[in-house]
Amino acid sequence: MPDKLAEAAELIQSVLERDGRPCFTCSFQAEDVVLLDMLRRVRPDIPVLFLETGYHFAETYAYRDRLAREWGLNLVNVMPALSREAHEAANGKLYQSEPDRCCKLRKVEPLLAALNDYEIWFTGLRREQSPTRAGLQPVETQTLPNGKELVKVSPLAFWTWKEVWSYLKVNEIPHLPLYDQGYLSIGCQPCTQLPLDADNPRSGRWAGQKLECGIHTFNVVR
Amino acid sequence: MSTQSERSSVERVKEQSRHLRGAILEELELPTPNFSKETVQILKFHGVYQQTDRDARKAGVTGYGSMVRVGIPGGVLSPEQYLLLDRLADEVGDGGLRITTRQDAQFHRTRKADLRYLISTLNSNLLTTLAACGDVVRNTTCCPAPHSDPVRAELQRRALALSRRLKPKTRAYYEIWMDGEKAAAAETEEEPLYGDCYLPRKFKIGFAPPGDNCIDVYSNDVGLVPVCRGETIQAYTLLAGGGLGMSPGAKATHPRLADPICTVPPELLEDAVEACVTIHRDYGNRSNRKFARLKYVLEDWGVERFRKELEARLGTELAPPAKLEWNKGADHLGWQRQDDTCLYLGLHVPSGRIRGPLRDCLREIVSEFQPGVRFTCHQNVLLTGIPADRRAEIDNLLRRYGASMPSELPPVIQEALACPALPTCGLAITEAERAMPDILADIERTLREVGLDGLPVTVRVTGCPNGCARPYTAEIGIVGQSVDMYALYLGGSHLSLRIGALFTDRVRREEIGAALRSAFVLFRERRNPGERFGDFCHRVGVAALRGAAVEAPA
Repeated sequence: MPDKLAEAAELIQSVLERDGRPCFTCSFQAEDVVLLDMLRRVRPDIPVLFLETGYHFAETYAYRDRLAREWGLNLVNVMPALSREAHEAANGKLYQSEPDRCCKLRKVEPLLAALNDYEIWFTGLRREQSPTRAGLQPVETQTLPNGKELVKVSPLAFWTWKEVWSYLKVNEIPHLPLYDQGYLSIGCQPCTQLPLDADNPRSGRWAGQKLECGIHTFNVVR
Repeated sequence: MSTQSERSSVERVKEQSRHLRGAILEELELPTPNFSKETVQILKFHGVYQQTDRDARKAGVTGYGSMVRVGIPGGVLSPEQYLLLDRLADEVGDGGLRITTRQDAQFHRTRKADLRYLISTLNSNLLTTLAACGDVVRNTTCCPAPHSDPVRAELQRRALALSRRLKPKTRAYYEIWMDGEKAAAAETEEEPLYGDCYLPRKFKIGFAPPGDNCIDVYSNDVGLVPVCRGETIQAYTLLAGGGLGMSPGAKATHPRLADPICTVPPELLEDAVEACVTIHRDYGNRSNRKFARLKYVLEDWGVERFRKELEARLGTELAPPAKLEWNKGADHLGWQRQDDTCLYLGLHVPSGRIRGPLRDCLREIVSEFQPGVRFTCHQNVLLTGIPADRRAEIDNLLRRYGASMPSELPPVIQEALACPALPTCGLAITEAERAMPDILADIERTLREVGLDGLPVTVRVTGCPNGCARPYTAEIGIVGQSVDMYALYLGGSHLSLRIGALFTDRVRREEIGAALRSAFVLFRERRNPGERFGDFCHRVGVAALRGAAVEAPA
């Protein structure tokens, strides 16, 4: 554990020495809060991008606001073109009828637009999170659909669930209360359930129909 | 998603550059040490890569300087040209030259104010930087061994002719660097092969003689291998769709070996290669640069459709490819007989860097004996046409400068490759070239400890997963992953015919030898007679190699 902590800190330090503007996309889940804590120590004003889909749990909003206030975060709420109300008026309950399109409109497209302003993108992704992330590298090059290249950095790539929680504990950082109800991977409220498969924490997302919303897989589409 | 069909921003920059002019001329006149972002893209086509020294930047200096690449078809230089490169390295470089894996020469840290002098001087000595980088046909490689057989000589001639034919036709290069007359307006200037947007991505061509894969023919977009009867070339086997780059962020990107496509008669060779370039031009992905190489067209289409398209463009049917056999992948090092009267000498150049005493030694040999100079795809140098009776004098000179004869070096060192990585490459995560001597010494020590000293094994190290030094086809591929940490790949082949598999992650630089130890032990115990390490690892599989790591005593 001390090794992985030092490795992550070293990687963060080294990447921040590069040219380019850094940002961090944060869902305020446990690993993101670990990385957020590490980042704020070395770059207190790093833009913390929260994908404000309009569908998060009330607990998530409250927790986000609490950390933003207590830690003095440079929080950037990344909003879709339409408010939740306007979106539902136009498309109905898209998360039920076409979850892929819903993710695309509420998360992926707003994120892609927001990332255009940065060259370095920190994420809390870990290999262990899901079979779709088993080949994750700590440093990857990410090309946006418009051709812009970013360095995508996942300092916690090799961390285990236990290590994440031990970091929170040791550093006395409060966690998102939803974990206490048994959730293991937490996104928008309508598409998050208790996990179906204990070995795959993300199996509670989208009722087991899919594992990724697209913000970490848009390159695969050709 | 709908946005995928949009052209990438680099495509727009190319199109708006008016045949590679952009704002280069204007920005050259500015007193700033660097070029703008868009101009940097266009400069690549002129062989100029703006870089910053990351060590210098840490120390608070901007550290701008350019890498300038000279494309040398087949790596062949006259002694005069070599001595010119050597002189320019002092005048406007960092006092050294770098041989690349495509037989180019590179200057490093050239100041913006010196670019025009450097490029115009090169051109007046029949050397060019045009199309050494960028989305065009890059330097054409060819086995540089100067043996007197007519097949190799013909391949060299072909490489040169093809290279000339496929250069961009824009006058921009001469206007900008040679104060050439502004020719007709760019609007009326023809770029018949490339068009206004050039290629979707780089395009690499290489020639290999039968049996000798020193150029790594399978890593090219188009590879050419002659089919011979005796010493006559009857046709060429054309391979297409190779490329060893990989972007770990894009899960579907991966290294790929070229496929044999067809047999081409000698008189159609140039047309056939050009047709492959136009297929890439017309069908390559222009919205996502990560999927823009010809290999992804080949992958979408399959060999059959590619061959049909090629036949349609040539207006003739093509025979199926001949079966290729290889017996050698190593470089042409040491003293070798060239013809009845002459020898040639292959000298090992660590990571392709000609500098320090080795550079002084080469300068003296080339000035004194006037040999031909050839750069190899293993980043080494051949000195050719040396009268057999002068060998002893050259041996003496080498000894005086402390240069090692290749036969004195362990095979691990002779065949190793590394990319430049830190401090000049913006993508690097870890050290590669600078750490290479330590990494090799560590592996060499481990081999000795398990009783395998002198084992020939190819080691390639890169500072990020993009794979510039072709780590994935090496017997041992060492790929920078996070700060001072590497992923190890095993099971590639010494002939570069196969891609290895991930053996282990998160290996600290100083622990690489230790991490390989159990695999070496297993190899010692279970190898077949004469089996290479890479072939063994491929045969038993990484799972068995990992199992051995678990069983091995701590």
